Amino acid sequence: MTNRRMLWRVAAVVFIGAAVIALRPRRQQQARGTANERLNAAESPRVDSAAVAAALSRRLAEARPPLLRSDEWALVSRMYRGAERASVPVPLWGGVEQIQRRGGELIATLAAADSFGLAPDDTRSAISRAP
Amino acid sequence: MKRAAGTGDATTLAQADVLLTANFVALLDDMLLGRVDPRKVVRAWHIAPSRVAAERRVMAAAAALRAGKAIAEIVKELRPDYGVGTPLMAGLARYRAIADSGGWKRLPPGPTLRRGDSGSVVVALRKRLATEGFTSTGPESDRFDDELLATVAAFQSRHGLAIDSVVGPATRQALNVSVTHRIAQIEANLERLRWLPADLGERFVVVNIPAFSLYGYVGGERRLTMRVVVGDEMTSRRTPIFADTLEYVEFGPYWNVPRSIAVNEILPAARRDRDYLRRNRFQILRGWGDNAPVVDPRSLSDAALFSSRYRVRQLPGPDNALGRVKFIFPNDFNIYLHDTPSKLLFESADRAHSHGCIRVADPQALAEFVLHDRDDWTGDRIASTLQSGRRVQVRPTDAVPVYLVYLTALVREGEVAFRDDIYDRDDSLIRALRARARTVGKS
Repeated sequence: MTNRRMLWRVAAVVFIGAAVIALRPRRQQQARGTANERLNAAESPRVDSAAVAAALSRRLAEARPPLLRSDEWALVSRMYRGAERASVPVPLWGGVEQIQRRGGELIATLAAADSFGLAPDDTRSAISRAP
Repeated sequence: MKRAAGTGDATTLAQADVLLTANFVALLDDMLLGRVDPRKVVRAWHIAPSRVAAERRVMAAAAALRAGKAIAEIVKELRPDYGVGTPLMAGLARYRAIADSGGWKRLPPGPTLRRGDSGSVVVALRKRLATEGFTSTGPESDRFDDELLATVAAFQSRHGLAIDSVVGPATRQALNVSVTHRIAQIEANLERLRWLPADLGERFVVVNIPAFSLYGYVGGERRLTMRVVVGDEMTSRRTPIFADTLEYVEFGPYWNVPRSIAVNEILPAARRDRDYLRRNRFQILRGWGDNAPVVDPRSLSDAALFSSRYRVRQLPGPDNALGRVKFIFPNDFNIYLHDTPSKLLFESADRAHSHGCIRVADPQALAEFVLHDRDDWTGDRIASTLQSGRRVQVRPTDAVPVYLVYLTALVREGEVAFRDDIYDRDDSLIRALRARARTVGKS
């Protein structure tokens, strides 16, 4: 494996780890909250789905990530509303646990893209550039 | 203002969700449309991947994602394959492993090697072939024996070379292509697969130009393979890359000579020898319409003969340049498939000899493939019509898509095979892919 590919994988793993740490303490606080503060969404039992939808709306209204072209960013917005054009954006990756698990799946898939000629360090991945 | 409880979590969650989606979309976009725009790399590439179709597929992928489908499965289903992608991927892994083990050494310059030769260069040849997986008795033998003969033949076959088991200049050149270039070549051809439409159709024809081959597919299975002659290396004669639908088969065709061929080849011969046109069954017509009148060339001055008011056509017959049948898929390039009276060229390993049109080795088989849904056009009827020279047009009930493609890494009997980059298109694509990677690195 080349150094570049190795570096990419390390960066990706670091990001996922950081995301998990960022989410964990808030999850604990949330778990101690009142029933009204708990979520009713199936995807995540601990985060308010309306708050997530609002946060998604805010994020989608902000600047596109540098790895995407404007047409791709518009497509991302459409993906959150689905073919049925929901009035509010719905998370694609589920709640906290699913994000951790499926984020790992995505990283593995991006890394495997090298096998069909889309090298991970070439796939415009912003994962390594995540905050 | 104090934030509501849970907003921080929601914001982090939303940002993570969008971040993953952005990466997912970037991957799918590269996979469905290619990493570089084909038209920016090859001017003569006219098969454009459909952005609308790709977006539809990404939206379907989003629904699958939300339904919890495994990401690897979603990607696998979307990845362009066409029965070629998976074996190319296996080949890519194999050549990368060879590179990681140090690759192969160049054969030193020297005389042609053939059976009976011996010496250190034969040992080097054995090592070179063994490194790529072409096995023979082993690197220790320094004799060019019968087994090495077969191994060299296998290498030549895999590389589209003339199979003579002699290591001459062409074979030596192919042996000396580095493993690094082979890897880049496979990657470039995986990119070319991404430039093709996702759905090629139920029954379609593919011509792979560097392989000098035509294939007929039904339901994803190859049912027809034949040799073809394609446009030569001159820029103006290169067969373009495009897709269209085959609308009709014309038996006993006229050859309406393209103006460039008329002006550069036919008319100069006619100027030297006015009988040239008659002997070769050419006619001069005034105008370009279907009912343009035939004129006597002896009544025309040289200037008139070369004027664009007149056109040249060749009568149907055994010596017609289009042979006994042509297959028309109307296009802007005036390119079609046709028979030829010059069958000898099909025996050659290098079959880039036409002005751009594609000559087929087995027009009867192709006519049967195209007209399969015409019950009234049986194999016997097609054969007798070809034999008769009678001029008749037949349309298949369903038009058949035709794809003219350019793949220099392909699959033969499950193994990656390479073809000469006859139009020098690999390097520009490899450079574009590398430039793209560098651009990404800088962003």
